[in-house]
Amino acid sequence: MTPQAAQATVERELRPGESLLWSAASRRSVDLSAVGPLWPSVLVLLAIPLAAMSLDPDLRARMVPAALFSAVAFAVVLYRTFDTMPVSDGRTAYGVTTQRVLIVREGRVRRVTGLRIGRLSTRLTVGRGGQGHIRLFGEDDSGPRRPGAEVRPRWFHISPPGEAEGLLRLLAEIQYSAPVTATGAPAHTVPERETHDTLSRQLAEGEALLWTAVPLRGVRLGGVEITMLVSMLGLTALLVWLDPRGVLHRSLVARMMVIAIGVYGACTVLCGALKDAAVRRGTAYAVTSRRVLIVGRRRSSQTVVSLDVEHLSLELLPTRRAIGTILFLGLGLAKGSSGPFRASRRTPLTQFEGIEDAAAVFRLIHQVRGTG
Amino acid sequence: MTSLEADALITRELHAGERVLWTGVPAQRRITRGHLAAAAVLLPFGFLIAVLAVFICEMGWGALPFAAVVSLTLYIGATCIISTRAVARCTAYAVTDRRVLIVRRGRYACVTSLDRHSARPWLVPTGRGLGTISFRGVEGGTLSDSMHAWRRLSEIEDAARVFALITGTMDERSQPGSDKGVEQ
Repeated sequence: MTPQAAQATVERELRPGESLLWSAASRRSVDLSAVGPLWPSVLVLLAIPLAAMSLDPDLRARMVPAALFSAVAFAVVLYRTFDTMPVSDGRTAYGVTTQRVLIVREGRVRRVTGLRIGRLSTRLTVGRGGQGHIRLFGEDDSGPRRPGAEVRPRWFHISPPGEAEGLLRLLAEIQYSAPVTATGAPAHTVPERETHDTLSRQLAEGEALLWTAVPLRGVRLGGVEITMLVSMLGLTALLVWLDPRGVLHRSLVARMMVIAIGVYGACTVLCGALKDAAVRRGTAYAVTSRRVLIVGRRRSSQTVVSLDVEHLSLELLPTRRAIGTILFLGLGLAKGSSGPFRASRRTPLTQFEGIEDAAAVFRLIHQVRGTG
Repeated sequence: MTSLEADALITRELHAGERVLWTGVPAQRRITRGHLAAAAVLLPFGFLIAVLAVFICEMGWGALPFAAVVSLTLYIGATCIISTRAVARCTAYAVTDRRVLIVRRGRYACVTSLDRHSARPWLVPTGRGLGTISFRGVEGGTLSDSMHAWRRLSEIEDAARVFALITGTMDERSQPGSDKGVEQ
């Protein structure tokens, strides 16, 4: 679809009094960041038994049913992933009007999505190439797809051509440009210059930065992670020790396979904690006079999360020594956006994790809501 | 927790100009639906492991460690139940003119502030005049969230009227149960 065709497509959907500010055709792309993080695990857990079968001929007869089961599971995972992965096929037109963000998909069935500007939360992911994917959280105001169905706010994915951050700034200008009186802010820490610059770039005209902070550094293991680690290693040790039917006793390869699966499981938990620690190093949090901002920079990639506070549900979890965590509820941020294995865990980019004076920040967000 | 303690806990969290429409605490029942659900899951699971140990693995006396696994599983389940009761003892609920508040103190301290307009409540009657109001879309989806059911008004009295209050289908002047009308 050409830019001119995209503009014409979007203009057909304009309502009276609505004017078009920006339009573009989607680029052909796949948002790989939306693939569940357990996908590599599926491949590894499939590869280990197959490698064991190829190394030990005695294992083949025993492991054929297991391999068949794995293959079926693999096929299901593959189908579900491609079914739910955000893919732009180049047949979608995007438009930003004075009132809505329009997503019009041409094809056998024409699908029009209109998201009201004013209550949109956004998440921008920019990869190495500089091109980004934007997810918008809002209600489709074109009504339910089926009669009688409830319209629920959800995440919509768009892949604009060129620099995605520019589109995000345009949306911020439309939503947050009216000046608001700044309220008293709690103690704050200033993030590194690059991260602070990234935060400042997101601000609309008249929008004030009330509070900024960086999360506590270091590796953290929560109760769930420790339980998973202990149970994975413990069950592996139990299986090797008990050795039902004596298979593991007879075959070194089988023994190594079971240990490899157990150790791999433990490593995935540890790697998740290490990755979070690395993400925390480039993460900064901010509360502006209109919204909540989370910026994460890691090597050449960058994530910007903008949450509209108007109807935001929050949870304050106090931890030790005046350090606390604020969760943002109702946005599905803790879930992976796609894929059969949803990442049901929170990361430093989905919450205000480990911040000082969290109770004051919690109150500040509510104050911002009151003045917005 | 007494209603006075609940009021004190809630009042601390109110913002300027915020008006409380209702406060309450979860009922302290010995056996809840959570207990029955846990038993319904744990007992067949333990039975399945025992069957696996004896028949499939042909372990004989070697099944004892598996019995230990079953015991451990039941223990974890029991811990969940105990912590659910402990959580209920230190929890206070409130509905204000702006939000739904769930406040806990002590070991499980947390403050949950749910927006009345976007939380999408739904009501499940749990018998004996009690009911639980859950909120679609605010469940975190993580394992610890689902174990403790943090974000719901569990086992409250007069649940139907509280539900109507949250959804705005009831006049705020005719409030249910403990009408506080506290203004911060």
